[in-house]
Amino acid sequence: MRDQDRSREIRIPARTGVAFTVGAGTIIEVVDPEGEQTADLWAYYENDLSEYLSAPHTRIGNMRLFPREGEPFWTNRRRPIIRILEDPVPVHDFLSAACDPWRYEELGHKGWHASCQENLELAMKRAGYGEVVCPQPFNIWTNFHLNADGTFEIRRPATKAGDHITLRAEMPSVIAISACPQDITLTAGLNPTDMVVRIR
Amino acid sequence: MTWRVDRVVPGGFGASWDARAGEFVTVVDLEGLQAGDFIAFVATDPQEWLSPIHCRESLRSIFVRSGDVLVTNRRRPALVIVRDDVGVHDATIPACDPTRYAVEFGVPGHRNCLENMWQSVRERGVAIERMPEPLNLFQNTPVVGEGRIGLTDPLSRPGQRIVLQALVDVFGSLSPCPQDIIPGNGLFPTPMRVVVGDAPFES
Repeated sequence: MRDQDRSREIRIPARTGVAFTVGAGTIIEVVDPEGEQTADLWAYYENDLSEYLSAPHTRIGNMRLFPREGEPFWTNRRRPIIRILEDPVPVHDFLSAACDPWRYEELGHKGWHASCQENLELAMKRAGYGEVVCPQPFNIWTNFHLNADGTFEIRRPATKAGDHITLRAEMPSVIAISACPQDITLTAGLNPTDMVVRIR
Repeated sequence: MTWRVDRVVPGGFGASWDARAGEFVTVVDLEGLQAGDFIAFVATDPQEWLSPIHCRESLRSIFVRSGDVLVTNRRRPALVIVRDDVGVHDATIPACDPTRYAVEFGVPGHRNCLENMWQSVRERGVAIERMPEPLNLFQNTPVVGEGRIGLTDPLSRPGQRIVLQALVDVFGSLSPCPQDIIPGNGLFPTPMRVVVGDAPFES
């Protein structure tokens, strides 16, 4: 039995990230154990990492800004890679970039600050995948509030302790998830906490 | 006035352009109803590019409009919109690509913006590892309620244009979109003109 076929639970410490492989059909449940936390998620086709979950292709694939329960995320080669099975707190962001060193610099932070982009890069290296591109992630529970004129604001996450989202891999995938370290804006409720991933 | 770059790009094809800091890039929809995929790279380091994702975050809006400063994937200013006759552009959907036509419309080998942009950038002799998401000039992708998006024809009329001033040295590509199967270009791709010089192109 390959490691990726085994049921397991991964705890992602606050401000860090993980990467793991899953086979097609694997269920991935992301849980916010303490509430008001957000997580960036990326997915790559395991056999060719240049094919990955692509936000613009997902928008045109579903003809929606945000995928809903039952709908897939699409790759840059227009194939479904992940599907949302259950989404009890369906308030996410699918239009913003991962936070990165330049974002914290822009916010006035001096020196190093953990970021989702760096968490992705470190997690993929640890998992043995080397350099990867950082596409626009699915920002789980980042509370993106769109106004009618196209402007938007990011509010506190709407999750309570124990809330979850359930996803299913549609192809063999490498998944990376970062427990967002944002502690300057409301994105992660000003208090970054752990995330839990259950794989089965 | 002499123009350093002045190219008429046939509908469905692509062309590259470049601009030094301070120069103006004027894109004209010559016959109207035409969308053009537009990408820009920072000349000193093409790993830095105009990024619609980061623009959204910086502008706190999913649309761009006149006066907006457009930023790179490193969140630095690259271009500013100084004139915009149409006011409707898209920064949310991808360039059309081989899969779009081959798989979704059953038309393999159809011209597409992705290959147009790759080809025109390669012609400059620059090594690019990844094609950024485009800013789709004049593309009309309205949000039509409950987060649904529409794909419809541009609102641009013949001769209408957008003018961007470069804030750093940049080069890029313009691809008047070859989409002729569903709405997006009035079902008939037509030419666009890209002009670069010390002033916005008027005529």
